[in-house]
Amino acid sequence: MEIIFKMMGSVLVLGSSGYLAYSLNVRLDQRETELRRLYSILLQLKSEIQYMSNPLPVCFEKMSIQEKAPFSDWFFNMAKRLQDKDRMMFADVWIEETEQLYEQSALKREDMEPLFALKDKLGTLDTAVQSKALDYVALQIEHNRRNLEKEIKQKKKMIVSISAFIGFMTCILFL
Amino acid sequence: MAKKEEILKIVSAKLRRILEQSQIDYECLQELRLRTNEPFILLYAGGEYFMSESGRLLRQAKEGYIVTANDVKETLEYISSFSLYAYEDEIRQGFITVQGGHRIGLAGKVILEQGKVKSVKHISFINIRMSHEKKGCGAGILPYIYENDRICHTLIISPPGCGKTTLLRDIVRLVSNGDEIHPGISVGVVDERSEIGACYLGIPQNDVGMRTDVLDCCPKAEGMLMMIRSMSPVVIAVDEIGKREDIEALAYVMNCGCQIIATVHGSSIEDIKNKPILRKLVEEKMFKRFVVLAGGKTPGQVETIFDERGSVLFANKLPA
Repeated sequence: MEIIFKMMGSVLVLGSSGYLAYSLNVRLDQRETELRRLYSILLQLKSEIQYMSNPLPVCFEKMSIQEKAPFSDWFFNMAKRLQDKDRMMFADVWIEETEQLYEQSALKREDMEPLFALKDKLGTLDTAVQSKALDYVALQIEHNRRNLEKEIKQKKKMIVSISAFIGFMTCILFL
Repeated sequence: MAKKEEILKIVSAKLRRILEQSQIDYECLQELRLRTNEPFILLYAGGEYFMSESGRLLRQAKEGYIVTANDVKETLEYISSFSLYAYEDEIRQGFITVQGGHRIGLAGKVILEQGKVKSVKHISFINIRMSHEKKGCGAGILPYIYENDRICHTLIISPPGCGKTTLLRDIVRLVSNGDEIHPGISVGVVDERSEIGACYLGIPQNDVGMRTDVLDCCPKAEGMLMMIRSMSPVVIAVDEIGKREDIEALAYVMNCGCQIIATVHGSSIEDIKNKPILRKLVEEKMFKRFVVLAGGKTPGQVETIFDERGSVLFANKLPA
């Protein structure tokens, strides 16, 4: 009976470590997809500002329809809050909603920092300054994505190996 | 949206709190003036007032709330929907029209390019001019400007601030909608300073009638020709003619068979005759009706209506 419980326990531990490895790998893939998406979003936002001259609430409303979660929620909330009766300054709303995006997405802090920096750049009179700021942020996002692309296979192997190692060690310890 | 909500939506959070505490009637509010590091001023019920932090109207500036740079910056964000770049053309002209038709005048450091105004930056002065329609103020004039069921070429002469734009707007509305006697006709409005229709996102915020088309923020001379070419108006309405090209465009429009209702700065027909560019309007009998406004407190108060020969068709016996 004891052996059966130990074997069940081992299966559970191995299953958990396997699932942990799987979810971490999914998160890595998700991060890569979101970085790719974010790059495209920034270029689209630049186009809306530079060529369409649409006010930001209108840009965000449009993009909330075009994008999928978590970006669609981000844009939807931005558009809604900017049109609220009890208004706040753009920079404050941008910081709060971008923090929410960070919590809901697979993006890392280093991916979000350039986005936070846009709080003082977006909505100003000079479209050239805004375009350059968006280009710079897009460049940083693309740089992060390329680094991730190079390292992703190695990282996945490492995650699987470590999880398997931890799983087996735990089993041996208890067995 | 009520005027109060329209204004509270565009001012800074601090000013919003102050105005929410006040008991002012927004129908009597004419202007709100924000100047960085200067007292918050209101033009209210014909007088100038300051406002304390508790929302009390004051006659002295001593306890008045002092507008900060942040108030101006925040107000500017709300006025421009957080997108100053989207209002570049309006800022170049010095004003933005917001929902409700209120005109926001802006002043600051002007940026020139090849001698022309390119933009205004470091905006430190904001003048919120409330839009007030006065429906019905043109009803009394209508019988005098119709002849043989047709609108005559009409020139409204008025000193500044006497309601000529308010009157013109109402005449446009009445002519466009029509009544039991005269059917409605299509009217084209060339609204160079966005005061007649006060368009917001291309939609007139003031009632200019159901058969009215508006060219917003368009120079008058060019706008009149565009209207003739594209919108087939029966009547074209323009505000504050004064340049040579305006007069030339008027002559062209009249030759095309379109009727004109226009306004001009002046105190009387003689005053118009004394201005070299405008003299032609009277001497060549380009207009068949001249409506002279009185410089009183009531906007759009008519003093006299003349025909092209100078005969008085209407005279208002105003108190001395």
